Amino acid sequence: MVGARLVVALGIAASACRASTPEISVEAPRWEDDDRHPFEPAPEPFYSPFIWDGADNSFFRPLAEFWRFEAPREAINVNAVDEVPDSSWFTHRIGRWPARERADWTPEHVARGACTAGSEPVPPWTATSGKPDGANPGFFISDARGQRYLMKTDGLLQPERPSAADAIASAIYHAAGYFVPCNQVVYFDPSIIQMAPDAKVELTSGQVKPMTEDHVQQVLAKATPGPDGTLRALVSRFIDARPISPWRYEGTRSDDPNDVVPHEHRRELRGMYLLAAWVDHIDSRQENTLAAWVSTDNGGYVRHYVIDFGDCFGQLTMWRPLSARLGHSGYADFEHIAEDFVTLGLLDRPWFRAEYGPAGKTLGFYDASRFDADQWRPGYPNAAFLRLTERDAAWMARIIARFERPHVEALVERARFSEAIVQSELVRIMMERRQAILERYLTRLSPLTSPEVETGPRRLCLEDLAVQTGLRSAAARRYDASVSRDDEAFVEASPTAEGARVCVPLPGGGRVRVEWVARSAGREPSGRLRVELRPLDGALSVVRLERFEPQAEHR
Amino acid sequence: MRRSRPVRVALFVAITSSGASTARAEVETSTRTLAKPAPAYAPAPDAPLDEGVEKRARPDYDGRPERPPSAGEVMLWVPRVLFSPVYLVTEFVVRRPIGFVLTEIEKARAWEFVIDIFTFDDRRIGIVPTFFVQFDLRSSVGLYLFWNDLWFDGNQLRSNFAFGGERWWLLSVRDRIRIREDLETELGFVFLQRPDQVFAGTGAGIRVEDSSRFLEQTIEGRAAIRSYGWRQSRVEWSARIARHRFDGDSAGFDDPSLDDAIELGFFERPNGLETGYTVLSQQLLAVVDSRRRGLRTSGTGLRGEARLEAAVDLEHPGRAAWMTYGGRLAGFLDVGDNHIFGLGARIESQAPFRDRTIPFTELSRPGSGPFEMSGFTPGVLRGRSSAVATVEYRWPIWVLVDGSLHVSAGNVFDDALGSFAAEKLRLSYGVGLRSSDRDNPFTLVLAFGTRTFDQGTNLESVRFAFGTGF
Repeated sequence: MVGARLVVALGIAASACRASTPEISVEAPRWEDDDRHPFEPAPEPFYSPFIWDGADNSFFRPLAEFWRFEAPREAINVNAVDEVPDSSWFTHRIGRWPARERADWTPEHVARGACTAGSEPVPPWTATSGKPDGANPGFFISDARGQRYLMKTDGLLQPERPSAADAIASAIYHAAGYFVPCNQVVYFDPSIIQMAPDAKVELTSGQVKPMTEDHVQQVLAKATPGPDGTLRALVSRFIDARPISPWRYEGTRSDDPNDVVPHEHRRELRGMYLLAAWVDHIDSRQENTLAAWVSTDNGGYVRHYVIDFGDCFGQLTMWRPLSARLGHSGYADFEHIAEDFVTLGLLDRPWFRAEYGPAGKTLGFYDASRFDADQWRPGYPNAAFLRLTERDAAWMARIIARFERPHVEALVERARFSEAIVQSELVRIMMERRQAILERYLTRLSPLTSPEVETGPRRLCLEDLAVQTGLRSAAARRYDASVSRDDEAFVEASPTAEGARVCVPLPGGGRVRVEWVARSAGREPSGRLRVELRPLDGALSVVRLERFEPQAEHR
Repeated sequence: MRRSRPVRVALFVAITSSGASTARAEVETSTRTLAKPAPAYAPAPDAPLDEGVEKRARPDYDGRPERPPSAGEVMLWVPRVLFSPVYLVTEFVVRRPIGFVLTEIEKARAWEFVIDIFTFDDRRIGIVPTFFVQFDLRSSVGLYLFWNDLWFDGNQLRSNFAFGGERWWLLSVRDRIRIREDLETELGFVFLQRPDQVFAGTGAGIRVEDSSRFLEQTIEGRAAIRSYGWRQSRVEWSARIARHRFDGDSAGFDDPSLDDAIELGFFERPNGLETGYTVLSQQLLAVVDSRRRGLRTSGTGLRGEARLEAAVDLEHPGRAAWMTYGGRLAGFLDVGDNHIFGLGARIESQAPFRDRTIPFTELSRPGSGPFEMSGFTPGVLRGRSSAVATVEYRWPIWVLVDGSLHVSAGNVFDDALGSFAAEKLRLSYGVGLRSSDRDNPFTLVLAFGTRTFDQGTNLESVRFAFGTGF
């Protein structure tokens, strides 16, 4: 087995030494993936096993895949400027560039998530079916307009956290670019709930029974009380598409002609790791996804949703020692178990230092002091997360960098916490975790992004996210730039910095290449950035953007 | 491939020079290659695929041709081919069939069906499989029954049935009644018959390679009353009446039968083997333990135990009657996060009343604590007294499981540790896993036992045991 690993290592090393750079296209970068071709019939639903998914991802799949000697590879759906084209999986929102493209992603807009005006259910609410027992009691309801919702109460262990998590995290995922339902926290008068005549409940035992008043009371008893006799709940509006089944984090669907990129090699799924780490979405698994059928005139296509974020921001379990591990280790993390056994427990594990913060049990062990951006783990391994590369993570870090403090404050405001300390603590922790993520992933590969060609005078400008986010000070920031024209040798250029915006004059000519290194005194310089420009339709345009590993020489 | 239309935009950009003044400049920006449609929740659908196209072609996302495989990637085919049989087995013989079966079981809600078969009355009653694997004794499989709140609240019935092969049976029934939060009584019945019991002689000088096997059949009734006190302290009174019968002609093991060993002159015939006995005994046990209750609470504390038992053979009261007394002192230091060092010593001694004797299976057997002298098969060491000191290091490796490194020095001796000498001690050391939750017992141990110091402490016993049970 050691020998096999050695062969893989040699292979990777040899691969890394490859020096040739393939010819590039002179077309404009691809910003849209044409994966919404209508077709018929709709894909068949499949059953998503709860237990097997955990067992498979924890043990059986890694065991089998080890013998495939899969070489690490970069994500497939990455365009020539190191970004992900919009698709049925992902649509750039807060991370769009240039800056004016994301101007309307204001804090208020971000906090709305997928909700639009009038998204709140209108009383009376008619319960059509429900799950009165279990960890997540709730109903399917239909409001006065006939709009359907899933309504969930918080349970008794951590009042307010599950509903807050669903509302905040879904809005974050939405602003980042994923498709999510409209989730919102509501306070309601319990008298507005009525039962449909044919309403049924499904118990955790699988039994289906007619819904009774007792079942309704059973659910409401687990709701957090609000002011004036109201109760708190999370309402999730049904999506505007027909649910099919979950989607998988690996492989492709044979019955979806648009699905041609193995999911584990989709950058938006790999990069989702970092977003999940930020909000502690430990349940980032197949069960919490939804492939939905969007009908069109000629049939339809599949849109891919991420659903159910109720575990975010410090979920507690019945065992405190397990709760303390969540986000740092899997539910039954064989790697950590083996390491701890062999090392006699001498490794300093973050779960040993878990303590409630000033927000008490509401935020559980969600904190920033023990957070290590590249050591975070979901409840059990995720096939796409496992293939995350530095580039995938840096891509998501550039999106996370766009969530500034006002955005986070607006998002947390949306959770409608009853205690100010919980609200302020959540903002603080989220900002500190964000900072840890950015420090890790915006400092190795170049944080320069969002290239724009200005034509009067002609120059190329980029945005330095390390300065923009306060990771590095503008005053101490230095840039080395060099320019090459029509494949001639690179010559030093004189970049000018205006806050986080850095520009370099461009020479005339056809093909222009510009290389940049951003550095701060006393810090390792980040990797080189190369931008290539070509005349397209009479204007010099960015056709390629590459980020190189630090210290790598690629000229 | 879709192409965005050229857009020329005039806009005002605020340009901030490094920490100084703010200038406002009109900049004409070409965004031809970067422009995208305005933010939209759902991009518009594409045109339908051509007739007969089953899958769209994978786009060339970055506009670069596929690079040829590197030398390293080509080299990867060597292990791929070499280990392809292993891959095929793990993927197609193991993973996929198991996945199919488990998925179908889940889909059919068969878990609940199985749980419903094995549990009743809203999960108050249940049956759980148990197993115990060990190399030196017979392994066993069984069923554990629990019945909570039988007849009335606080009455808990527990029963265990196990089978370990020919002539190996266990049936136990235990009824525990919680009278108060800190007071409970217990009634129990045990039938145990196993042909793999070990006898290697008595006293400090026994040799493991002299082990012989015999069958023991026990029918036992037991009653106890237990009072819980401060932290993990308790006081317990118990009584038992147990009928023991033996068969020294137990075949089917690598070791000789006890009858053969006696015939070959290895041992004198031990007391009680011929006739069996029925013991009636009473015991008082007092435990003072300063460690707190609860999962993963601090493990620092002191524990003291004292035990006194008086017993008589009802079938031969003039022949066998004895008293057992002993105790244990142990200290535990939790150096942080349940990394616990423990040091303890246990002594036990037996004294027959007047000139009476003690049946050989009632003799002191060190190793009643977890991982004490675990390198020796239970029953190998028997004597009129015993002394064991154990050092253990426990550390958490999972929520409910601890690792354990342990070393014991101990042995059995004559009356009242009469022949005790440091050079007569044996070493036992091992590594293992143990449950940190008393309600979910689980043990895995690999341990080694040695001869006495004066015999050179050569390794003479290796033991592996793995199992869960109640």
